[in-house]
Amino acid sequence: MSEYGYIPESPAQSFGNNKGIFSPNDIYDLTRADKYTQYGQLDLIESVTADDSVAYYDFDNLGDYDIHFITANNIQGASTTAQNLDIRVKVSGTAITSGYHFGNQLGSSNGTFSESYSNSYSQFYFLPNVDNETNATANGYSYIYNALDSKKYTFQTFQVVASQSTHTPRFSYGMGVYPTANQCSGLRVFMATTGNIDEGNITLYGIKAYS
Amino acid sequence: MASNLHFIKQVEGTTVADFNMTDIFTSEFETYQIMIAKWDTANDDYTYGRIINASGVDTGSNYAYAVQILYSDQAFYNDGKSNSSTTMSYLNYCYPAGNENNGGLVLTVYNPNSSSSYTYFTFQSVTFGNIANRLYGMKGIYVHKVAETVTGLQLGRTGNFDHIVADIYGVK
Repeated sequence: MSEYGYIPESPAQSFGNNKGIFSPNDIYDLTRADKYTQYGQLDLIESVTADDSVAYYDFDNLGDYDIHFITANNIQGASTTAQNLDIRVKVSGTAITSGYHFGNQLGSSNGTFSESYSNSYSQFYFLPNVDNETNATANGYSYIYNALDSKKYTFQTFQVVASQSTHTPRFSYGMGVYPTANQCSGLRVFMATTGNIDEGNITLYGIKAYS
Repeated sequence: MASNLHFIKQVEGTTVADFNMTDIFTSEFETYQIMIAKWDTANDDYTYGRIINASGVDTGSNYAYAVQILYSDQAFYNDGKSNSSTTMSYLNYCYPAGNENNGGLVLTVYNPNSSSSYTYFTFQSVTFGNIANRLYGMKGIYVHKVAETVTGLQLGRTGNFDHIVADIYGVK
């Protein structure tokens, strides 16, 4: 008997178009070949739980995706100084510290709305007003586009919510770009000013697609 | 089953004035995400959207929108129309130079398959203009104000999409 229970020739297999009876070995082989239909295209790459031991986390395995998705939940800093948790691209293992653009819209529960922007920034803007106080955390997500495409710039969008005693609960959303075409080797999520990341989870996903 | 994205299909266009994503919405999902990371264009212009129904592309004045355009070098711009627009405007702004600068879009679509409700959209996009040295970020909402089943989506602009790739997911 040929593959997948067919005689004499087995049918071609692809995502969304599998035919036949599959042994565990078949499933293993087809999965490795990216030809086995398994729904759930938000692929977990890596998740870290902050423990006040470091000021940044490097995600150096980006897999093979056009779009990445980062979530940050219940983030607190070790410092009482309110600051951002931001993102930098890494190229050839080095975190890039200049040449970013961003635009950011802020909205606060006290009715204040404001915008900020820069075409000469040091990182991708992400979570604002991270500090260290009881029950005050920052939470959000960011999409990263074309980080692995050597012919494209690396782009970012984000949306977050944060609460802090000296700054009323607020949302923030915006976009960023690192306008240099190269293949990124990783992403760094880091405290922008001082101190370690005290608490919270940061998770990197890849958005799986099939051509 | 745990919630996740379910890949539906990838749609690719080469040298097309209108990029049609047909038969992408079904009864299987209530919410969809359309993600685009690859846009190549030969001229600079805004991208707009229109829905596709059983009769084709809806070019009528059936769209409402509210969009904020964020820049990296100047004050932001807000625009909106309540019910008289013929397009879902300001989806992004594609710049042609080298095509390395047309970035990303996530467009979330709600209730397209329902014949008894409007179809709603939220989106966020980002591109970059080399000549202006300016980031173009757009965030907003669209409503197609006709209670009917929507089966697909068309993206258009002045000038072609030289190359565009969209991945469509159901959210479950």
